Amino acid sequence: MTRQNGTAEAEFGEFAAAQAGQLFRIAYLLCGDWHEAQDLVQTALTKLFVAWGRASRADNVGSYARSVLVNSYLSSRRLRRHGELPVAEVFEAGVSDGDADLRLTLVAALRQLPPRARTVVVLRYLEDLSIESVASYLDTTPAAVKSLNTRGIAQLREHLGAQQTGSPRW
Amino acid sequence: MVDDDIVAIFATVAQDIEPDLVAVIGEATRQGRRRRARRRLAIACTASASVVAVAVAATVAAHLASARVHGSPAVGPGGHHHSPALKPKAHHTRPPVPQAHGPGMRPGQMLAVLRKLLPPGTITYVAPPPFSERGSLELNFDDRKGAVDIIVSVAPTPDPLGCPNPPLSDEGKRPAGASPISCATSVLANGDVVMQEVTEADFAGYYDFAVYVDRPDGVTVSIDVGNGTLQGTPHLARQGWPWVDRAVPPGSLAFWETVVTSPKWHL
Repeated sequence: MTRQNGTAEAEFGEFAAAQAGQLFRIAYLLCGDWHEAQDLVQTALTKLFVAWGRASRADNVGSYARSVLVNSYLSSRRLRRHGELPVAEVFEAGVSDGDADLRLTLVAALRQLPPRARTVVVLRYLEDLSIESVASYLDTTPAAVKSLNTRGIAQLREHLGAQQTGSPRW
Repeated sequence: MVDDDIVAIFATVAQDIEPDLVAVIGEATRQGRRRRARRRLAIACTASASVVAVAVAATVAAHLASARVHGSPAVGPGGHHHSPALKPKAHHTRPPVPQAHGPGMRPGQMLAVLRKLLPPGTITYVAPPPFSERGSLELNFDDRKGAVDIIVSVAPTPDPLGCPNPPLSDEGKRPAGASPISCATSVLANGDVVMQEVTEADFAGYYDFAVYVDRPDGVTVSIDVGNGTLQGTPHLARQGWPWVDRAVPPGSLAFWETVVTSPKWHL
């Protein structure tokens, strides 16, 4: 590194260790692919490292990191509309056996949504973010997020319902 | 109000995902170091450093003016006067950056320029965003001696150029026959400040020829030429780690200096 700052790098390391897990969960539900999610988290953390001097001064560094992650995901989706693997074929070494069917069902249902709608739904229901917060992540209006959320949830329920017929949840 | 049943599903699924991200964080840190060095979005550019740079610049400018009369104390391979760290003038005194061409060169424009400047060989891969975006282009180039990663950046000049202090050290094993770590800055007759660097090797033995130029018009152009690939090769599709293809990057520091000092680069 040409101009190294060990303290800042240590701070970044602490932040990454604390936040990477949740960033990965978001990434995994956005991508629907374990390895692609790892790549996405790595890309986001790399960009965050480069901009750490600025990012670490943000009011909410975690929010900044999520923003980088979401934008990296949406950028990659704009160019890569192919190559998604069937969920059943994905090797997922870090997933417990706890509720695998539910996870695979949710991932499969999310993958039916367009990227922006998928992003809205994941941020709303995994991160419990407000409509306004999601709008800021996507650089759009709350009204647009409401619309995406309404359509996304309707589609999600439809897909989940189709796959989980008889389930008391649906 | 969100739907409780869907929130419950997401919560259950999230608890089920416990990834091991140590390697991911480690690689992000290593790539971040390289990219930060490349783009010079430095964290630690303090005001005191700027003051020192101005003082050094004044001293060096006087020294160089004297050297033109009395002979040069140190001349590099490109015929430049070398100094461990120098800056011809304070960053804030640069003229405004011309914006006639918009907010930055697009990757396609940068690729068109670079094609005319590269040595004989083939461009085998051009990285998509976020690796290539306005003002930044990443590609793989093969001169038939092994594919390498090249990153070009054109941006408003950030902070002053300066060689690492203390000098860099390798993280991993440097390939046999590799160029040694080095760094030198110089000032060209037209006012360009150039820094030539052979970077440290990472854990995989990957290192760069890195050449930066700070132009008097406030534009910084940089190029990083690796001894292997970071993106685009099939065996990296999942792993995402560097792949060392050769001991030494193609070309030479002097050659890549001719590339970054080309007037074809603009904001």
